[in-house]
Amino acid sequence: MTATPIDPSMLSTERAFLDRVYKTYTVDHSSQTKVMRELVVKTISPYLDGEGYGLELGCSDGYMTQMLANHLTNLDVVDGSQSFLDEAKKRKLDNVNYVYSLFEEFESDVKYDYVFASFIQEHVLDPGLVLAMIKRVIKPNGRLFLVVPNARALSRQLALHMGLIKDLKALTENDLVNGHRRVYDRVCFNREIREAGFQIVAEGGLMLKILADFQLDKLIDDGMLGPQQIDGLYRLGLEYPDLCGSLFAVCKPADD
Amino acid sequence: MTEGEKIALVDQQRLLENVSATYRRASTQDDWMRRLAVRAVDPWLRKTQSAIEVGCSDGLMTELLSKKLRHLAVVEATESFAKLVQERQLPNVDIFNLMAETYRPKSPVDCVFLTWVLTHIVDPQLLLCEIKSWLVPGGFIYVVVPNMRVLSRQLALHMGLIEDLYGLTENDCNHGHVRAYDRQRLNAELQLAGFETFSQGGLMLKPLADFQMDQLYEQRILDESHIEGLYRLGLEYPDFASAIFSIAGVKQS
Repeated sequence: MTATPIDPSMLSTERAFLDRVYKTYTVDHSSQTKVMRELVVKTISPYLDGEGYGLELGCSDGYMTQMLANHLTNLDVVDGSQSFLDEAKKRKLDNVNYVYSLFEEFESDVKYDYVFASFIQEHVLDPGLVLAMIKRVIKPNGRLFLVVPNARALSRQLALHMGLIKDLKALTENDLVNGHRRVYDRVCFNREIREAGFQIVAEGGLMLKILADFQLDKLIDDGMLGPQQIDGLYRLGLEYPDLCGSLFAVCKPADD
Repeated sequence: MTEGEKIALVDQQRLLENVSATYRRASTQDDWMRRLAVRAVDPWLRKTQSAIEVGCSDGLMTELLSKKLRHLAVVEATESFAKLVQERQLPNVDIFNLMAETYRPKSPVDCVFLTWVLTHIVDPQLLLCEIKSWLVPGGFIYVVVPNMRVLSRQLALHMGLIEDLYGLTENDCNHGHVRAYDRQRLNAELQLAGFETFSQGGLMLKPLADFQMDQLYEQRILDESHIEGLYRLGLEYPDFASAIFSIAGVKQS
C-alpha cells in the first residue's frame, strides 16, 4: 500500500527472503485454512464456466490449485518459493504449468481469462505492483478474484475487547507468524482495487469467524464444527460480511 | 382477574412445576449469564434498597443480589425452586411460593427483578401492570429475556435447525417458554405496560449454542478472559447477545 515505487533492489532482497522463509515453512495443513480455501472456490466457481486460461498467484501446497484446475482448460501457477512449487507439482495436475517468479516480475505472452490472488495482498511488499502486473496480463473482459483476511472478523473484535490486540488493524502474533504485512478492512481493500484500475463486480465475506484460527482448528478436529456448522457460518457470513474471517472481491479491468 | 385468567395461571403453574424438575442442569454458560446479569444491574443497586425478585431458579442470582440490597423478597411459582433458595439460608431474603400475578407486597419496593421470566408468563401485560403498584415512586424494574436474535440462533437458522428466528423451538416449549423477544418486542411490551426505559443493552455475544459453550469451557478452549471479551462485545453488538436487558421506571403521565 506504499504510494512510492519500490526500488528494484528490494525485490532481490524479497526473493532471498522468500527462499529463506519458505524453505523451512511447513505448509499449512490446518483444518481451518483448508475449509477457507474450499469456501473460496465455492464462492468463485459460479463465475467460472469450466474452460478458459487461468493464472494463480501463490500455490502453497497446491490444494487450491487442484480445485481450480478442475474448472479451467489451463492454469499457470506463479510462486516465489521453489519449495511450494515442488510441493504443488506432486499433485501431478496435467493442465497446470508452474512458474518460479516473484509476482511483481512475472511476465507472460498469454492473456488470462481468470486471475486468482487468494491471500496474497497481505503478504507482499507492495500490493500495487502485483495488481499492476495482473492488469498487464489479464484480458480486458477477464475476471480477477481477490481474497484477504478481514481486520473486522468477529474473532479479531473479540481479541480487541480481550486486550490481546491494541487495534483492529494491528498485526497479531499469528499475523506475523504467517508473514502478514498488513490487514485490510472492506474500505481499504476496495480502495486498493480501484486505484489499481479494477472495477468490483461482486463483493462479500467468507465465513463468519467466531474464534481464532487455533481454536477453530480444534473445534473442527474435535467434530464440534462439522460440515453443517461450517455451511451455517458461511451463509451467516454472507448475511454479515463485516464479521467474516476473509473478504472477497470479484473484479474486472476498469473501462478507461 | 377473570375466571379464564385464573385457570390459565393454574395451568401455567402446573407446567412450571413440571419443567422445573428437569429445567435446571449444571450449565457453566447459564451460571455465567446470571452473574453477568447481576453485573449489568449492579450500578443501580444500593445497600439501602428493598427489592422483589420474580422467579429465582436455583437461587444463584438471589444470593448475589441479596448481598447488594437491604431486603429481597422472592416470589417463586414452583415449590422445588423455592426450596433450593430456602436451603441457601440468606438472612435478608423472604420467599413466597406463589404465582407472581397473585402476590401483593406489604409495602412498595425500590426495584423488581424479572430475569428470564417474561418468556414464561401467560400474560406479561397483566403482570407488568401489577408490578407498577409494587414500586415506590422513582423505583425501577430490571428485565432480562433471552434474545431471539442471538448469533447462535442466527447460525441455527442458517443451518436449517430452526425454521424462523421468531418461532418457538421444541426446546423453548419444553422449557415452558410461551413467547420470545427481540429488542423491538421487549421495548414495545414495556411501553405498552406504561414503563419508560432508562437503560438497555445486551448480555454476552454468544456465537454457539449453550451446550457447545459448556463444552468449550470444560475443554478450556474458552476461559474467563473470553467470557469477559464476549461480555464487552455484547455491549458493542447487543443484537447478537444471548440476552437483552432493560432498566425501566413507571412512565409519568
